[in-house]
Amino acid sequence: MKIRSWIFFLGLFLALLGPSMGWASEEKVEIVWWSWGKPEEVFGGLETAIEAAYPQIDLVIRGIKATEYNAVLTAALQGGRGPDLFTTRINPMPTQFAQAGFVEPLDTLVPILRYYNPPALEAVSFEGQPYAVPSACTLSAIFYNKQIFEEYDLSVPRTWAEFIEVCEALKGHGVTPFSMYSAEWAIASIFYPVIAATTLPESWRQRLLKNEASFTDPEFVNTLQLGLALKPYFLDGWEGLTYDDAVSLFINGEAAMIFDGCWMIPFYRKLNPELEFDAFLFPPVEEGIGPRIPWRVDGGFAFNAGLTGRKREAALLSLNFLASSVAGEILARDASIVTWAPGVTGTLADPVLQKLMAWRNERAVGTVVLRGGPLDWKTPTISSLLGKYAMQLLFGTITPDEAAQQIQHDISRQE
Amino acid sequence: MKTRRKSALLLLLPGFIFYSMFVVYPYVNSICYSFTDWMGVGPKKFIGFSNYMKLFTDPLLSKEFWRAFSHSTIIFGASTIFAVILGLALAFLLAAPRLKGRGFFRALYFLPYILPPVAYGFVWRYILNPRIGSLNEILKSIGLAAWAQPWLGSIELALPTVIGVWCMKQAGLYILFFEAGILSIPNILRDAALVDGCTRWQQIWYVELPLLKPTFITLVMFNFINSFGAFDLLFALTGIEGRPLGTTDVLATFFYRTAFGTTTHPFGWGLGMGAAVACVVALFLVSVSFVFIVIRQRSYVEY
Repeated sequence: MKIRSWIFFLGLFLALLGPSMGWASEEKVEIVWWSWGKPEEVFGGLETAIEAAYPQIDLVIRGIKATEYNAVLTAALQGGRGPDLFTTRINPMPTQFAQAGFVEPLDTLVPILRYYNPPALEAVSFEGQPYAVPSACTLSAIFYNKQIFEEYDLSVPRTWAEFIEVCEALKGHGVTPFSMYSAEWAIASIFYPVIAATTLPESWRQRLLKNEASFTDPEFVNTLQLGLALKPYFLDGWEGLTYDDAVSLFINGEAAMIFDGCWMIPFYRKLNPELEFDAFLFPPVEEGIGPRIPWRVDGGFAFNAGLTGRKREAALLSLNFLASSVAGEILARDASIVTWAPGVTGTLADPVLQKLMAWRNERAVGTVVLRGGPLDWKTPTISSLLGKYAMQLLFGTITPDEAAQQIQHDISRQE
Repeated sequence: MKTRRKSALLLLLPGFIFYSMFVVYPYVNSICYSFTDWMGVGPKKFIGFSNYMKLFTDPLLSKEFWRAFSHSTIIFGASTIFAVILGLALAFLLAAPRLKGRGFFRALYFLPYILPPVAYGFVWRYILNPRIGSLNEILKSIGLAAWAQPWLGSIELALPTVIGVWCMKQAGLYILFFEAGILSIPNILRDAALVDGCTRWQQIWYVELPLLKPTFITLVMFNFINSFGAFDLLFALTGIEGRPLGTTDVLATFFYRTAFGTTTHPFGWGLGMGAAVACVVALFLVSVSFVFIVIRQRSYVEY
């Protein structure tokens, strides 16, 4: 009896002592990651991969409504209760956060960033140093319903003239050519960038950023005019439709085409698996000029500079993973998100996304001057102005010249 | 007497502390922020009255501010007519003696008011959807396809549509208050008027309406504060930018955009400017409410 008691107490002692000597399994570190929208769905594959690669990390992803995200994240960080990892918008957010000490420079903490595209890094940098990992390269194009095109024996237009012929043919058959949205952010982020990618010459873009060109130049006015010229082919009642409404109507086959972005590809597949769709780029007005695809950085992954100890280590491990090509392949496969990590091939991604990625490599615009570019980093942003005046243009309250003049007038007062 | 006063003060203290923490302190803080250049992160820089000057002199900001102010004023005016005055008329009908189904009608009128504004707004957004909304479908099915419109997408119709939805929600409360006021008028006064040869319309005009004046002014003031503070319903119907083209932009959505920004304009004009907008609106509301209170004090009638 005495020996049994001794054995029992010795075992109890060792069991209590064990964890402090590392014999028990290491406690997991919870890393909370905030992003806008429904990141639990979008980043689910990443969560699994990170937890598999680093079993000591328990990743918890939280989504916040996109329109409230900036305010909620800022308030949380300001109050010292921010998440461990978070998705940031592009500048001015990383700059503001860097100045406030919420984020740290990542050039030494995330070594792979030295192989990232420099313009992409600029969008999340402050004083030449990146404070976030550029997360998504948003690619936009014109998505079309292949079944409708095949039914009416239509082919992808290669020029503006063919484009109008396709629209007229669809209209003639009682099919609405475009599902369109009355949303300023979408007009500025998708509709006009897709048109401008092809119509704005690279030389004009570079001169604009050097203040040697103006939005009142014929190149830009012509771009506005081309968007307006498509208005007769918009869905009836488009003025009252949100972006989500327009997407739903396209998915349900109520229109043949939609100006949209690569992030919607998984939603098209999920909401209507029978929808056969593909994409094409805005065709040029003149033959011989190749169409181009617009791209922009849609945000960055950053970590909370206030973390210490194991949390900081875990957050940095997660961040380095997110910056890697492995994460890039997962995002391309699961969420049709194209990242900036070098070496991402997207071989497991949706075929339509693979097409957009190939265009990015061959036909991307060189300099972004609209949504996501340097003119979006100061107030008032070019996207807010483009959205506001382009919407007035599409509603018919101003002309393309007036819209261009207003944009130029307001952009010259950026601070 | 002194003990009673001490006890009264002691009992008021918790409420006072709570009120100071959650109402007075944020107000004072907000006023302090309005004198700073602050984007919500980082250090605050004191800039005096610059935010207030910029609000009224910057072409972009001042144009949007006055546009939002005018829309809020229109909503107040229209809701005073269609919610308050019409509510008074409906209350008289509801208070009619021996009315069958009074409880049912009272519940029917009050139901929109008790629904959460955001849920109510989102439901109406779908009812008014130009492609799949039930309103347009009903109009088409009864041969009125020409009346089917993009209600919340038309520059001319968006604000009247929003006002209609707003009035339908608010009217129930006013009807209830007016009905209570009408029922609280002693019948002896109506009987006295009847004995003097008054018709029912004369009873209402010379006896009941004067007695309802304080209630009427209180509800107009209530409607004034509600209209100028309207946010959640409008946000649900037309978004933070007051679509389309800012035709449904009101002071509250303007404030939110200024302070917190939008997707294409992160950080907006900064929290300092947002606080300045809030202070200007609060000052306006307090001033006009004070006038209402003075008018109300002088409107009491006794028979």
